[in-house]
Formats: sequence, C-alpha cells, structure tokens
Amino acid sequence: MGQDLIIDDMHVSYGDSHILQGISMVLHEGEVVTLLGPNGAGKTTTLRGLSGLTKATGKVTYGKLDLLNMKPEAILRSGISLVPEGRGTFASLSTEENLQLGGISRKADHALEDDMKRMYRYFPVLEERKKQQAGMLSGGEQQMLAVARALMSRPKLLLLDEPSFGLAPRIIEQLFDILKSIRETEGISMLIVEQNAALVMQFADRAYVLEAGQIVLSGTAKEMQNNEAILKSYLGS
Amino acid sequence: MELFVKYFLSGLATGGIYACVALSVVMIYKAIGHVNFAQGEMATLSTYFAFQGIVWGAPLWLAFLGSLVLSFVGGYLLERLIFRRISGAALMTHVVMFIGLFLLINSSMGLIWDFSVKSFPSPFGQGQIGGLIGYHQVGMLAVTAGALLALSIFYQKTRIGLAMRGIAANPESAKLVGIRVTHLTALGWGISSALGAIAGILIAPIVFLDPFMMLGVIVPSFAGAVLGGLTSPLGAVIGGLTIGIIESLIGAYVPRVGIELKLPIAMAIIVCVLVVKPSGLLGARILKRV
Ligand SMILES: Nc1ncnc2c1ncn2[C@@H]1O[C@H](COP(=O)(O)OP(=O)(O)OP(=O)(O)O)[C@@H](O)[C@H]1O
Ligand SMILES: [Mg+2]
Repeated sequence: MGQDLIIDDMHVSYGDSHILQGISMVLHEGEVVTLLGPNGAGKTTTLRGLSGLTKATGKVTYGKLDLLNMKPEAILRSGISLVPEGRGTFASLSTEENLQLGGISRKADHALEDDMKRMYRYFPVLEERKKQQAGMLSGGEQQMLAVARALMSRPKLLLLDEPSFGLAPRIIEQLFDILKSIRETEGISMLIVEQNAALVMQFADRAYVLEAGQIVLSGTAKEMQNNEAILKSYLGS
Repeated sequence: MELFVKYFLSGLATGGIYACVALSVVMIYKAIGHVNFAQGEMATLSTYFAFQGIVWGAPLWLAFLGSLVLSFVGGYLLERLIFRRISGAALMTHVVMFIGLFLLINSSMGLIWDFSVKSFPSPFGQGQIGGLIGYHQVGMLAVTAGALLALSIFYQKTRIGLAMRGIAANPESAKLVGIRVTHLTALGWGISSALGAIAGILIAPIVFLDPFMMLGVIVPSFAGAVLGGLTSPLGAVIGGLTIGIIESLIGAYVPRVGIELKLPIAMAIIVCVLVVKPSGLLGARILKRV
C-alpha cells in the first residue's frame, strides 16, 4: 500500500463535452507506468486532473490523501510533481532561476543547494546554460530543464506528459537514459504519458491505453508488447 | 546651460513620481493583464490617509508610514475581495470595475474631505540648493530612487520576489511548482498601492491635495508605462523618468504654451508608441524558440 496512487472512476468535463468518462488506474509505489493513447484521448486531461490544474470528479487517493479536493500547491507538497505538456518553461527567467523555482516550495537550506548541484550532474548542459534565458534553450534542453525543475521539489511521484515530443531521436534516448538512472538512484514512481509507445515500453513496468476518455486496455509491459492489436495501433509496427 | 540643468533636474524629480506610478500600473498589468485606471485615485486616497493622520496631530513620519501600511493592506484586500472574483473575466468587465472604483474613490474622498484644495506639508522643508533644485525635489528624487532600488532588490534577490517573477513568466507553471499564486497576486496589489502612496505623498506638496490631484500625474505615468512597454518594470521606470524630463524641458523652452502642452504631449507619446511600436522600449520581448 504505502504511497500508491489509486484513481477510481475519474471524470472531467469541459462545458458540455465529457472528456474523461470514468477512468480507473493504479500506480504502486516505485512503479513506472505509462499511459498511451491517440491524440485527443484525454491523456493530458488526466495528468492535469491529478495535479489539480483541472477540476475532476470521482475519487483519487494518494496514500491517505484525497487528491481531487486539493489545490495544485498542496498536491505538489504531498510529493506529486508534473512535467507538463509543452514543458512549461519560465521563458523570461534564467535556467538557474527556473530550477530555483522548482524548489521554491522547500525550505532554503543546504539540501536545496545540493539538489541543485545534483540536477547539474544529471543534466550537465543545464549548468552550462545556467545564466541564459530559459526561453532561448533548445527544445531538448527545455525538456531536461522541465524534468529537473519538477525534481527540485523532491517528488515521490513524477508525472510526465509526452517528454519525447518534438525531440530528435538522439536527445530522446539521452533523456530516457537519464530518467532511468533517476528512477534507479532516487526510487521515484513515474506515470509517463507517451505517443512514442515503443520507446516507453522498454522502460515501463505496466501500461494503460486510453481512447476517447476511457481505459480500453491495460497490462504489464511484457503482455502489451506481445499483444498484436496494441502493437498495430500504438507501437507502430 | 544652467537653465537646462535646472529643468532637467526638476524633470527628473517629477519623472521619479511618474516612474513610481507607472511601475504600480505595470505591476498590476503583469498580474491581471489589464490597466488599472483607478491607480491614480488609489494614490490620492492614500495621500488623504496621510493628511488625516497629520490633522489628528501625528508626526509627519508616522502619518506617512501609516498611509503606506493602510495602502498596502487596502490594495491586498481589494484583490482578495473584489478583483479575484472577476479574474479571467472579459476586458469590458474589468474596464467597468476600474471606472466604478475610480468614481467610488473619487466621490468618497469628496464626501469625507470635501473638494477644496488643501496644502500638504513637505517633509524636506522649503529652500533651494544653489538656485538649481529645491529641497523637496531632492527629497523626491532620493525617496523614489530608494523605493525603486528596494523593489528591484526585492524582486531580484528574495524568494518571494522570484516567485512573483515566476507567476508573471508562466502562471500555470508557477502553480505546478507550488507557488500560492492567489496570495502573491494580492501581495502584488499591496505593493503597487504602497508605491502609489509614495508617489501621492511626494507630489501633494507641489500640486496640492484635492480629489483630482492625480489626474495630472496619471496621464504622464500611463505614457511612461506605455513607453516602457507595459510589461517591463525597468521599462516603466525609464519611461516615467523620460516623460518627466521631456515635459520639463518643453515647459522651459517652448514659450508661453509650454506648460499647457504637458498633457497633450503625454497623450501624443501614448498614441505614437501604440501605433509605431506597441511593445514599447522593453515590453514583452521574451525571446522564444519554437
Ligand atoms: N480547456 C479545454 N476546453 C475544452 N476542451 C478541451 C480543453 N482541453 C482539452 N480539451 C479537449 O479534450 C480532449 C482531450 O484533450 P487532451 O489534451 O487531454 O488529449 P491528449 O490525449 O493529451 O492529446 P494529445 O496527444 O494531442 O496531447 C480533446 O478533444 C481536447 O480538444
Ligand atoms: Mg496531451
């Protein structure tokens, strides 16, 4: 049990359109789970609901907490951090300030400074770009910055929304290598939304497939990789 | 040359006032995306707070400090109790709210303190330095420079300042890193009102206090804010100072009508900037790669 994330019948509507139509998912502490699905399925909406940015109904618990009644800042403080779609860069601020903002919910102490250095070890390019305006970084650098920024709050669960989007294959590989080593060293759980299923399946323990606001399939990464139907529609082979 | 220096300095001193008001406008514009037309009236009200303190016999410094604190709290509450509720509403809603606030404050001041023109004491006394610049103007320059410097240090060096810049740069990401956006937006309104109070208290000994006192200040201040680009605090300061200097020099060198030209010139600058370069000198030139 511990810090499991349990999503039970979560709904989101925008005006008249019922976007998430009662999805249920479980993410155990320490697991890496991926949420796959075509454009417009509601993947981003799911992550926004979990982080408190979008109003959702149903029941979502994280450990003992009832997430759907919490504000984004409280959800962050409970240990859940989102790497948003589009990277969410503080474009007019420097790279370093972006990282400082990532840790702004914490006490300013040595641990915070150490974490900053740790991020620069994971992502050396960010240290080189430390004083540069973050909006000027390349897409890959901004994605790394988004991950590092989210980690600065010391989350126990990291939500990632299409981290590979728009990046060159070499950069994607580099990014996922770093995510793997972050998982190994920090023991953080991850929920990764991806369209690049082949890539994320090598890394994830389990997968869910979302289509038109409903979970249509789920299973371990191995099961999914052996499933013809999924291979066709999501793994692009 | 001596004439030039004299009017340059006096323009700089008035420009400092414009800079403060322009900055208070920009702070709110950055927070909510709208220009608060009632900024000048709020500053006038702050000045009346100080006036009332003096009438009650408080020492000047205490009256001024009291006004600053009240203005800060007032600005904070204004956001929490009123503007928070219409955040995200259409432009027209905001325009109506600002006009309503303007009229409400203006007529309340008339009701409480009547519309007569009142003299307001300068904390710096009367007198001139070398026939070039008055004590009060030197004081104005020093106080506005000090306030702007303190504010810049606050934004650049403190964590709350960083958080406020984060909100301006990306409100949604600010929420995601755990910033209490609503609280800090209200704080921004508080700081903005306090800045207006400083401007009002400093200008009142020169233009005298009445409910319309800030009308002559708000237009050049808007011009300064627009010239600076509306989204840039530094731009607002540079813009405000520039307008003050231009105005003063024209008043000095253009015979007879120079003084009358102040407001038209400010308006002309607003129009020119909006037509030729809407982003002003420093506004929203965030370099972005796609
Ligand atoms: N703010 C909004 N208002 C109205 N409809 C919205 C809003 N945000 C998203 N939608 C709609 O909700 C549906 C799901 O959107 P969502 O962004 O969650 O999809 P997604 O699975 O993340 O897609 P993508 O792969 O393109 O990122 C889409 O049809 C979208 O048009
Ligand atoms: Mg999406």
